[in-house]
Amino acid sequence: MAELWALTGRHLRTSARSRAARVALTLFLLGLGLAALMGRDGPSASLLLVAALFVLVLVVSGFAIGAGTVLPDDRVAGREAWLATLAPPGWKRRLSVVLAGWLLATSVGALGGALVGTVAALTRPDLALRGWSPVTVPGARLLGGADPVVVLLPDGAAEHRELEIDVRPLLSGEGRIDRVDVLWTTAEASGSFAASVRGPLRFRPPEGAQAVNLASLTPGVRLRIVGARRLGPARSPVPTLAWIGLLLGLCAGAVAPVAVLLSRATTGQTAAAGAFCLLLLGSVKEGMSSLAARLEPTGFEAVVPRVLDVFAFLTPDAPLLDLLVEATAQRAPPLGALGMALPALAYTLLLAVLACVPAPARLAREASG
Amino acid sequence: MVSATGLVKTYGRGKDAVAAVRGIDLQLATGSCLGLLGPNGSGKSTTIKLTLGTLRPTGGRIETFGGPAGRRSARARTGYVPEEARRFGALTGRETVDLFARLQGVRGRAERRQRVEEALELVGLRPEARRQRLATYSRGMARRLAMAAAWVHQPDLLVLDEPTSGLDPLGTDEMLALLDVHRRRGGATLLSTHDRVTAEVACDEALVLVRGRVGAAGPLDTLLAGDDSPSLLPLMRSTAQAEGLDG
Repeated sequence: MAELWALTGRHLRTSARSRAARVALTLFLLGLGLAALMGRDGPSASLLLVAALFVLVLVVSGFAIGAGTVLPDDRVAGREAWLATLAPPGWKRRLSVVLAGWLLATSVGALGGALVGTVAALTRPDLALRGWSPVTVPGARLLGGADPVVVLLPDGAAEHRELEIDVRPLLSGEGRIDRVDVLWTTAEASGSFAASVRGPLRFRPPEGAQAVNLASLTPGVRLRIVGARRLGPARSPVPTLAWIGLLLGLCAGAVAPVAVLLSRATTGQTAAAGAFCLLLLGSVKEGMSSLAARLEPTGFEAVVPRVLDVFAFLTPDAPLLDLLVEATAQRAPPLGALGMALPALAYTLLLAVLACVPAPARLAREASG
Repeated sequence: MVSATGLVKTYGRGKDAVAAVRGIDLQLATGSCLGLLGPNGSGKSTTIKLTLGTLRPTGGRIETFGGPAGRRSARARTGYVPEEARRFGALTGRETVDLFARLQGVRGRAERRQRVEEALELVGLRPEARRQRLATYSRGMARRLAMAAAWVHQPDLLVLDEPTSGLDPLGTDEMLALLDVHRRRGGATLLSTHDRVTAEVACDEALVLVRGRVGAAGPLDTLLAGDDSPSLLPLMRSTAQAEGLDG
C-alpha cells in the first residue's frame, strides 16, 4: 500500500501543479466571483447555481479524463522506463494513475460544491435547497386516464407535507394546452389547483391524510407521473452542494479507469477523447436504454437498439444531468442519492481491475515482480 | 551479483532485425565496478537495460542477485541513474528523492527524511535547489539528483548510464566520491561511460563493446597500458581495428 500511495501522491502533485489544472481552477473561481458580484438583481439563483455546477462538472470531468494522459506522457518522457527499474510492479503504477484521477475528481467535486455553497450562502439568501423524501404512487401513473392516481403519504410534520410531483405531458390531438387543473381528494376533504402541464405539480394536502387521489379536470390532458416526493425543510447550501459535488465527482470519476485503460494502447489525446465520449454517453445512459427498448426490433432499424444497448453496456452510469436537474429544481439530494452513484462506483472498480491486468507481452516479466 | 552468459538482444524481426547485443558474457562481483566502454551504438545502453530487466534477452541468460534480472526483489536492491534525468519536472528535488525512497522500501518518515537529506548532501545539491522543481534544473543538477534518487535506499547494485555526462569537474569529482562510498559499503557498480577519468577512477575492470560484441575485456590498467591519451578514443579505435570492425 505504501508504494501505491507514494505513486498516487506523485500523480496528485503533478496534476494539481499542471497548467491545465491552474487554468481550470482559476476560471472556476473567477466565475464564482463574478456570480457573487452580480447580487440579487442578477440572474436567478437557480440559473447561477446550475451554471456553477455545470462548470464544476467540466472541471471534475477534466481531472478524471486527464488520467488518460499520464501513462503516455510517462512513456514519451522516459519516466515509465525509469519507474520500471524500481520495486513497484507495473499494475501498481497503473492503479495509482486511476486512483489519482478518481480522487481528484471526487475531492475537487466535493470541495468545489462546498465552495459554490459558501458563495451561495453569502450572496444569495433567496436560494432554498429543500430536502425531500420519496413518496409511493402504487397504482396507475397516468393523470387524466380512466382511474385516479393514488399517492400514499408518509408521516411527517405538518409544515413539511408539501408534495411535489414530476409529470411528463403525453401528446394529444386537442391542440396546445399549457395548464392543467388537478382535483385532489382525501378521505376528509377535497380541492383543486392549477399547474403547468410540464410540472412540477406542487400542493399541500391536509394534515392527517394518509393517501391522496389525483385526477385531471382539464379534458384532453394526459400526464405521466415520473416522480413524486415530499418536500422537507430548506437545507444549508454548503453541505448540500458539497454532497451534490461529491456525487458529481463520483459519477465523473468513473471514466478515470477507462481513460487509463485506453491510454495503455493509444496516445494521451486519443485516450482522453475516448473517455470524454464515454462520459457524454454515460450521462444519457438511461435515455439510451429506454430509447432502445422503445424502438421496433424489426428490419434494418433492429440494428439501432442493439447498437444503443452496446453503448449502454460500455458506458458508465453517470447521471450528471439528473444531478444538475436536482440542483436547478433547488432540491437537496438525500443520503439515499448515493444509490445514483453506486453503479458508477461499481464500474470504476471493475475497470480499475482491468487496468491492472498486464499486457500479454509483459505477463511473464510482471509475473515475476 | 550480476552474471550474463551469451547475452543476445535483437530489436525487430525478419529483415528489419537489428542485433544490438551479440553474445556478451559478463561477471560483476560484490564490491567491484565494471565499466562498459564503447562508442554510440555499441550496445552499452541495451546491456544496461537487460541488467535492469526492462528488456528481455533474445538469447543467452542474465542473472542478478542469483535470479532472473528484473524481478521485484532484484529491483529493490538496485539503483539506476539514467542518461537523461530531468523527467519529473513537476516535483521538487526533495520530493523526487523522497518518492524514490518510498518506492524502494525506505520505511518510517524520520528514517526516510534522514536518508533523503543524506543522499542530497552526498551529491552536493544545495538546499535551495532541493526546493526547486526539476523543470528548472540544469542537466548537471538533474544528474546529481538522479544519483541521489538511485542511492537513497543504499542499493547493493548501482547501474549508471553515462553518470558524469553533463557534469562539471566538481560534479564529476563528487559523483566519483559517491561511487567510492558505495564500493566501500560492499556495493557493486555497472556503468557505461565515454569518459576516461570516470573509467579510470571508478572501474576495476571494463568491457570494450564494439557493435554489440565484447572487443576487449580485463582490468582497466591492462587495457590502458601504454596509452597516454586523455580520452578513451585510442582504446576504442584499437579494439575496433582488432575486431576488424573499424569504419
